Amino acid sequence: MNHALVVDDDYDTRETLKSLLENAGFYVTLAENGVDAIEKFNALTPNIIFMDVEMPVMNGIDAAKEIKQRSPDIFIPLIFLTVHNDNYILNLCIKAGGDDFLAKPINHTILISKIHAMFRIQTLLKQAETLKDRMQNEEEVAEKIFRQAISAPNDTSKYIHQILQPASLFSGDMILTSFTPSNDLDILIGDFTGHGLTAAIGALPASEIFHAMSKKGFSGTQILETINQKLNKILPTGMFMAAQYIRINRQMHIEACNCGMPDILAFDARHRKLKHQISSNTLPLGISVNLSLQHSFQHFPVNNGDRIVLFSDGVIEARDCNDHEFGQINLQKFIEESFKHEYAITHVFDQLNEHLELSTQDDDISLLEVIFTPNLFPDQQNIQAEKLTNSTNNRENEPLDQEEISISITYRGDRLCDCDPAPAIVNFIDNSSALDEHKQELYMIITELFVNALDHGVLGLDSKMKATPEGFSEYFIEREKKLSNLDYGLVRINLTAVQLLNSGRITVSIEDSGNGFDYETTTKIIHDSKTPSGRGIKLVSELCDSLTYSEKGNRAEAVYSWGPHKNH
Amino acid sequence: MSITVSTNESNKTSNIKISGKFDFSVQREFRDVYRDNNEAGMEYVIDLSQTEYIDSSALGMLLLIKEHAETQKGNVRLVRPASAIQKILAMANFEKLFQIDQ
Repeated sequence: MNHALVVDDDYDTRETLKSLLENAGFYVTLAENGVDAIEKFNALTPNIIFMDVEMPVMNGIDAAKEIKQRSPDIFIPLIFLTVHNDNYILNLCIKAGGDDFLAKPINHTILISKIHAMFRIQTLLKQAETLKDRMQNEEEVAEKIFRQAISAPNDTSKYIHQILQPASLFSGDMILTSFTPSNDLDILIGDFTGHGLTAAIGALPASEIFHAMSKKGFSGTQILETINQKLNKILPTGMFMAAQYIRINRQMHIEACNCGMPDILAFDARHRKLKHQISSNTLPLGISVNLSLQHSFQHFPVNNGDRIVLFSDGVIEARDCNDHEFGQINLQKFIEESFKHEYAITHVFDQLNEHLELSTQDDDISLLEVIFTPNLFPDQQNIQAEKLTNSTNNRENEPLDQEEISISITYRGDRLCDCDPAPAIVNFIDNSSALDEHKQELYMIITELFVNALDHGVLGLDSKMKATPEGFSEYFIEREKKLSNLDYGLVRINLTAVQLLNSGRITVSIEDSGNGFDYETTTKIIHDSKTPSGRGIKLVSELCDSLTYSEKGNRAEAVYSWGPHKNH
Repeated sequence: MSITVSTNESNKTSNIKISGKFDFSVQREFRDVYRDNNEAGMEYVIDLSQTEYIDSSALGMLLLIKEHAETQKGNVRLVRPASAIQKILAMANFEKLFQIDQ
């Protein structure tokens, strides 16, 4: 039953209102002044209050303030009973928490309509409250599910540091990290349109594709193009994901792609200065079904101690109370100043929060920093050691049966420009006979030999170009140019895998249509040098039992084996 | 009102001027401008000269009006973005999707 509290020092007003309200179905409590009203309010919690303004002991305005303070979370309409329209008094009434006025003498029709209006507001507020609770609950559940799906598969390293501070409960930003089969590091920062749950819808498929394809060793182009197609298919028009992507390898080489995000920044360790910035040169992902990213990748070399910083626009667009943006210049400056810190972005983040101190954060903030060092990558030595243990164990186990698989693939002309043979071949062999821990090595051997055959054989590029940082970038621009017009040439891959119970041998031979090279002297130079070029070949020859060149230098054969029958 | 519209029926042009912030808060207002306009061959000219801020939701809204216009064989043109707005459009490479005029 509705319960009204009527507060007035005038007997006639109290009684008139009481009878009108009782006729309208209310249970009515009466009070004669402000103090009396507060006591009865506390004891009985009515759901509507009628309050006179001028009363002895405590006036209506003070009583209203007190009552509204005691019930901050629920809406109990408080209607002031007024004699005349004094604007100053009316203003005080509203400031004290009054919701409406009712003129004395009280008119029955107006009384009833005001009660209806107040209860309508009460119902709306209750609905809003329920909706808010439900939404909050759903967002919390969604956040848990998404966090598990997105962050759990991420590979970590102490040389990667990340900060993610969402604006609303659930963030439209996501950070993904993964090591490929050859232990290259893949990093992607994604920023979905908008915020909250809707912004996160695309996060699940995007992160699944990223992790699955990176783990299988697909190229950056293929990973991003697949995410683009998937998002284009599932997201409605107007929703998309901007992304920064980098792949870092042990050979001190970074390939990067920026799809609608602020610049990716790379800082030189020695000079503590910005050395490369990779600007967005393509549409965000999910907008265009035919997005080709092959020509959007940029390449640059890194050295020990260099820092690569990825971030979302929430960082540079964060506005302080004077509406000033944090800006990219500040970001760069703070990173350059913070080289002495373990992670520069921690310092940047402190500055950013100081900047935001008196304002609100209206976009998600994501920051990621990678410090380049050979220790960034899972230890190659460990893999070698494991290999040795495997080969010395179980010596008494004789092979039960022998299985041989071979595969031959030839790529010609324009097919060479976007092919990526390693994942397909490795997955094929792995499906036929489990490769286990040898997957990574095989992947690396095929990739290195194929890239060499293509770059130096078919395209005739000189790896000496990579000796200087300028030449390094130039090399990849030149490579890009030659690849896009390629209508000649051939690379043939032959692979034979012999699998025994506890041992196996894989022979990979890669042949190209190029002019070959003087392999006798070159291999010697490669083994002695410390330049970024030739490292791949050095690594392959360390991994393999043998790496030999034949013909005029355009045929390479690598033999990789494990187990007790390892033939060194 | 942060969105003002002037439609010229004779040359099938609708000028949509967005003042202040172009973000999710004007989403409904923006959509209502074009949603019921089913006239074929309309050109929507989005005037960004008075726009102070644009976020990714707004980029999404631009894609939506483009889709609407194109299903009616019309088109969308963005005009006079201030340099801060121009920077964001360039970052998203929207010049590949829209004609942007100074």
